[in-house]
Amino acid sequence: MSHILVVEDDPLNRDLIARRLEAHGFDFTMAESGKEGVAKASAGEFDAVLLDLRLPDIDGAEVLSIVRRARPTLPVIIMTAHGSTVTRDEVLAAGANAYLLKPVRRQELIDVLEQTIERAR
Amino acid sequence: MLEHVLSVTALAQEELPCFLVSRDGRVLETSDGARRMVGARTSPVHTVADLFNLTAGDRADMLATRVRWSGSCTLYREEHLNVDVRLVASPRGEDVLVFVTVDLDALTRFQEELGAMNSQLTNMNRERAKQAGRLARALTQIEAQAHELSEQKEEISAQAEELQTQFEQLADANDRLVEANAELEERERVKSAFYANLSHEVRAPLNSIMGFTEDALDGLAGPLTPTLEYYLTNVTNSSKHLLHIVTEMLDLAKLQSGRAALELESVDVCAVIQELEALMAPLVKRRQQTFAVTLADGLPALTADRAKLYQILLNLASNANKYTLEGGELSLAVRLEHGWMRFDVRDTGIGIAPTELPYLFEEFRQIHRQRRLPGVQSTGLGLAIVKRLIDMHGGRIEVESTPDMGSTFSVWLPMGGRA
Repeated sequence: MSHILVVEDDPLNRDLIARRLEAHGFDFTMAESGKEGVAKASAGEFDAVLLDLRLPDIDGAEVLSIVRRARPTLPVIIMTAHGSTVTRDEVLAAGANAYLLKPVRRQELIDVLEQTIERAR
Repeated sequence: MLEHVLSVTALAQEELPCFLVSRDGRVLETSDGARRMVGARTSPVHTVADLFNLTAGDRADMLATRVRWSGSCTLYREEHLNVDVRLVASPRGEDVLVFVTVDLDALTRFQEELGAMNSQLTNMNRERAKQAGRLARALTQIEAQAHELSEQKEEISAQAEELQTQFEQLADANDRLVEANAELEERERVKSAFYANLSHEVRAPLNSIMGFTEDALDGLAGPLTPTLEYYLTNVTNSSKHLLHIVTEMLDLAKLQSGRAALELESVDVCAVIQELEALMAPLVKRRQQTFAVTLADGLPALTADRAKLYQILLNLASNANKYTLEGGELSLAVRLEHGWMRFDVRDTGIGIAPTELPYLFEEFRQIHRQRRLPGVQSTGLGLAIVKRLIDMHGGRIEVESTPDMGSTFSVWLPMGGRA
């Protein structure tokens, strides 16, 4: 069973993601802020990180760069409401493995997660 | 004998020039006339030899005369000015009275010389007068020119002042423009940032609205009743519309802020339109419409941004589809026109009121139009985006419309891309 670290500050979105992951047989750990995400990513063993860009404490892009340095092989999927090609190109260039634009459909989320984890193995 | 009775004193009062001379040649007395004739002499007059240029023989004959003697000679006058004269001498007691008469021939010659000199002088004077005239004219001319120059100078300095004023005004205007431009740029930046923020803030809750609704419709929240399914489908549709508005708003903000760049390439227009036809087919079918595409023979490649060209045509075609009743006819025609590629998107739809036409390409204007056709959803931003995309290409768009008859949107794009 794949274990996903979800870094998302919005409670309803966290709940939605949790239910979707559960429905598709993923194990998961929740982080409500950037700092919590960095701490959990460094400490635990995960198959992928689902990372929001806009977070209350430190920016998702910064979380990404810290995680990249600490865990170079850990796949990171950015899931954001920032809808522009510039953002996508930027996060991919910064080392993200995939980019999802909110609102995200259930099947899209599951497909991207499975593909990303598959490629990282 | 008249000569004998004339006394020197009497003679002296006469105008006749005469001298009383002793037999040994000394000048004893001189008449007024003689004094005038001799003039102001520098050397003193003592003897006849000082007065007349006579040979020694003539002088002796004259002084020895007992009756009458006459001869010609030169009278020494002032230096360099001697006169040829005739002399008549008569004895007066022991002395001799010498009358001087001017030699007429000599006088004539002198007068002729004088005349020549005079005419020469006259000529010279005339020449001088001419020169003076020319000089005077030249002077007048110079004065006129000087006056004109001073007027011109005043005029030029007035013009220079005016130019300076204009320059200052221009500089002021420029400053104001720079300020206004900076303000405008700042406003665009703020607006763009606002839209980006708004888009983000709307998308985040939409994620859970649409996510939960989708999952519920998929039965993940338990069994659905038909009513619940109807409710949830409405939520999904409205959410999609809201998402569409937010997306277009962000697109337009990007276009307006000038951050969106054209990626020009050689575009195969036929391929783009085939793609468009495929996308339009289900929409056209759903409303039982027809969509006729006419491409002119041998259309060359168009230098354009392929994605943006597609966006322009899709927007116009989907508008035609939305604003045309069931069973209506849509068409797209492409042809070349004087170095432009022209696209005509035509429909037999509800048309646009003439009062709406001037504002058609403004943001959110079409929201009024959507009320006329139930079930049609519009963001009111599509045509504003289309106009922007065409402007970026250096093209133009025109619309002809008759209410209840239909509309034609014509787009011209430059063949060689924007210069």
